[in-house]
Amino acid sequence: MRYSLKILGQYISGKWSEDKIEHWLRILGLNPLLVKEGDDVFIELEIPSNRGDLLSAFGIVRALAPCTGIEPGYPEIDLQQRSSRTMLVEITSPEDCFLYAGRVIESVSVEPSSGWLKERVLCAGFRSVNNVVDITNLVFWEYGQPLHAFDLDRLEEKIVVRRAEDGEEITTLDGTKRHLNRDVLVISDSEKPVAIAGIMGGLNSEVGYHTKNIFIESAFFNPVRIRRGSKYLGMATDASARFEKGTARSLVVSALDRCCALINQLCGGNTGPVCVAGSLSSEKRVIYLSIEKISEYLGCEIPEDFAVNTLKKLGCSVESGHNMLKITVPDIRNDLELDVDVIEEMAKYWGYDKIPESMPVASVSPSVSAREYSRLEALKDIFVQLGFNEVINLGLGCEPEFLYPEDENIEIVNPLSRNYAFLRRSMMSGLLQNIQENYNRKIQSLSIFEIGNIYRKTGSGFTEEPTAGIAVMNKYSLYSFKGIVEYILKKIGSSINSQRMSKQKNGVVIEFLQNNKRAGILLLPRSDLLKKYGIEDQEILLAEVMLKDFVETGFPETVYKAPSRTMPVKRDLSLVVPNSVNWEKVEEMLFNNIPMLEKIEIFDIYRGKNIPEKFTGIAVSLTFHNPDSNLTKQDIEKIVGNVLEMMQKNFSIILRQ
Amino acid sequence: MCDEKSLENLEKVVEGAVKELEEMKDSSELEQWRIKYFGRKGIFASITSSIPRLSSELRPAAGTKINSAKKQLTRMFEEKLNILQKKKSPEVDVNFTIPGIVPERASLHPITLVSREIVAIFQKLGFGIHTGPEIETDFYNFEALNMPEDHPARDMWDTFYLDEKKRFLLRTHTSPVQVRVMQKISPPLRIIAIGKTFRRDAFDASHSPVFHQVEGLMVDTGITFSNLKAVLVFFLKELFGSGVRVRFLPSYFPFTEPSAEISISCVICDGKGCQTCGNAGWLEILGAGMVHPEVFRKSGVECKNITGFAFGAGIERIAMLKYGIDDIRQFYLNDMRFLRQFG
Repeated sequence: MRYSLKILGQYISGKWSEDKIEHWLRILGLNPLLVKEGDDVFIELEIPSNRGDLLSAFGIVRALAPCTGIEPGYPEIDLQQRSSRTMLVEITSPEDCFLYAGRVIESVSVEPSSGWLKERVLCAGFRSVNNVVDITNLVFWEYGQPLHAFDLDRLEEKIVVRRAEDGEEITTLDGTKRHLNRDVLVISDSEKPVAIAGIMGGLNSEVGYHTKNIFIESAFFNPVRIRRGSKYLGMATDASARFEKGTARSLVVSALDRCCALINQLCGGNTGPVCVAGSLSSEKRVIYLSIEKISEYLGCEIPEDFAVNTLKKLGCSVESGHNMLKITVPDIRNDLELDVDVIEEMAKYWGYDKIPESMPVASVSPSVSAREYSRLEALKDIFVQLGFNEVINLGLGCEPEFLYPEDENIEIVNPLSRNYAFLRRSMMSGLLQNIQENYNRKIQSLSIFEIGNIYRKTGSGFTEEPTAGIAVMNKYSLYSFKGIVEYILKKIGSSINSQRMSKQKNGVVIEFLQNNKRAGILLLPRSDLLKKYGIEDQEILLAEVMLKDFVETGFPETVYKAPSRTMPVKRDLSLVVPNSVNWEKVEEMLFNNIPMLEKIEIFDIYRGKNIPEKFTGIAVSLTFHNPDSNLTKQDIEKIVGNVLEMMQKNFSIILRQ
Repeated sequence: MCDEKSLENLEKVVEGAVKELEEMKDSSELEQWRIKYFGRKGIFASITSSIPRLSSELRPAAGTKINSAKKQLTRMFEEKLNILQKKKSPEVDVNFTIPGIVPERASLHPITLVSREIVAIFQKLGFGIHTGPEIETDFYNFEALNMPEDHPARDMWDTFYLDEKKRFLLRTHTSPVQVRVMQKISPPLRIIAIGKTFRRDAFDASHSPVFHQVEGLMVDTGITFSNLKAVLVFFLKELFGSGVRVRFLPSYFPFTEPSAEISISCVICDGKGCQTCGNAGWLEILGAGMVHPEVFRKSGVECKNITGFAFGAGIERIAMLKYGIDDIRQFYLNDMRFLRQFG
């Protein structure tokens, strides 16, 4: 909202200065911005959406009254009723229109505006149309009550306020044909819609220079109805913006009379009696509030006379007794409903900065926390210790996810663009994009992780699951990367009982299963997938670890084992292992049959020279340990002999020559 | 065994010792040499011990001779020692002006770093940490926050919807966590929540359709607006330094009453006015207010005398001010050259 100080000044009685007004508008939270234009100063204000009353000159002046000593200078309305012509007005949708009033004015001369009218209308931010329309706009600006002028001779018989029929049409004043439905409230005559109620007039009843007789409308609509109509039609006007925020019954006739008086003064014509449908009398809103509650709520003593004076200046009537205020609120202040709303007014006019700061007095109670946050944060630290950089992606993507084809896509109904139209169902596409963009920035190798939610559709709604995404480029071999994934799985307490490998459209997938449930997944992407990202020549590995169980259970406790008094013995073996062998089974067999075997660690994996095709060279370090007595060289030789024999017999694993 | 003769031999001894010293190659040989000549049972010890046996007129001259030989050999020994040690410590030849090799290091995302800083501040005051879903329902995102259907304030948050009926949406703020926590846990409550939020705002230097928020809530008997001020001033001074000035002005949120907008004196220009603060000298940093009675009602908190305050802030905005980042999009480009700066 924009106000010319020069024009606004004409609606103020009392002494005022630019600085004082700016200062208080700021204190009241309206964020004034002063812009000098020629010899005038314009104030731009941010009006909160619950303060429709501030979308008017008198509203602004009234808001400044308690703190600046100024008062609204209401104009004297000298309306002579010189005609007896009326218009039949009818409301068929009383839940949408609470009050509809109008007056006929005969024999007006519609002309271009001039002089002070034109100046004020332009300063108020309107386009000057003609004297009649400009007057309705000026009075709207003064009172905050939108008004509309119809060409009376183009209205048939009567005015009806009703819902539009599905399929009904109207061409509005901006020349656009509008298709209406039952959501839209219209003003119609006995035959056709002549305006979209509260939003814009119809071209078929427009006031122009040929117009002789007019009908001025002033109404009080249900804000919800105007909002729905405006949303449905995609039309927002000054009037609809005002009506949406709630106008007031008390404004209807006073603004109408001010408008008609101005028209008579500037355009001539004879005004008829007021024609009304709906009730003129407004129910009084009363709020009870004790002075103590104000102080208790704000933590600051507010004197009673300050409270009473402020409220009176705001247009409330206040009765006080027994420390209790009975406050009757003017209907234009529809934001004042509860005692706390009045307390806010007290705080504003007292000044937020004058309220002291005092730390709350609270009983010592253990802080209740959900554990997810701290667990996920601790996991981030583990990734960083492993040398991974944290990334954060939007979680919105352009293409349906490639990893879990069985799941349904989640599409945003009203996306910003096709690039951000889907919710991610996997972390991997985001990470691939990160790799692509960094590769394009000449980053040669990287290791990144992201912890965030992935989303899934369920029967009745959606689920979101915390997940860790891991990705490397030119950094780790498959087995080193797999080792990292396995380490993370172990760290978060997933006990993996089996791994399943499968070839899928996008590459080789290794699933880490805990009781047949997927706990993690590793992808060796196929080069045609990488090609889409322009990184097909890079060594890229991706993985995802499900954290849903982890955030509930947390890290497994570390159980202390006393270091043994006897010494373990290590033996390294260089093995040639057929690729068909499931290494897990080898380990399982050895642990089951060799009681002194404590640990098997793989420290090298190689293929190629000296290793026949379809075989892999695996260098393992076996740790043997007898807690009761130290193992002798002879003991070890015997055990290792057993190990080799068992591996050869059961898996055709031989010692490398 | 030591007599005048051996004293006469002193010159020869010195001559031999010097020759041996010249041939020394390492410090252990040198040590052997030292023991041979100057050890407890070394040659000089025995020569010295023979002095008393000399005639009294010869004694002073002999003493002087022996001493000067000792001095000469000791000096030569130290010189040799120095040379050998220098050979042994190669770092003397290193150029220390060449910088060291920086270890490869990994980093947390700046959003995580700032979030942790915020969490740590509120933990000092005994606040717990909660989370809530990113996919919300209309009830939690709007209705329970005193914004029934058709409420004009809903326009303050442009929303992404997941179904045509607009029942499911991506939360536009972390405030729904307030309601979820109050439904689960009865007051007294002191909590914060951190998480992703979504608004249908196109990308520009200061807008992103996805960003992070921190939400706070304190509910107890007799919580006042003055308490709100104290807690938030403490928070902002911990976060931006004790020199920062804090300004409270009225604002409007449907879920708080009274509502406040909180600004800090510009951290770039200290309030003098610059590009960052749009010459205002102040930076808006928090929205806050006293919990609206309707929010308590919708959350099932019905006790009398229970009051509370709530607040919310954008993490990216705080991170931008802390690190001097001038474009919010940086957070989501995940450019390693950006991320590695926080390691």
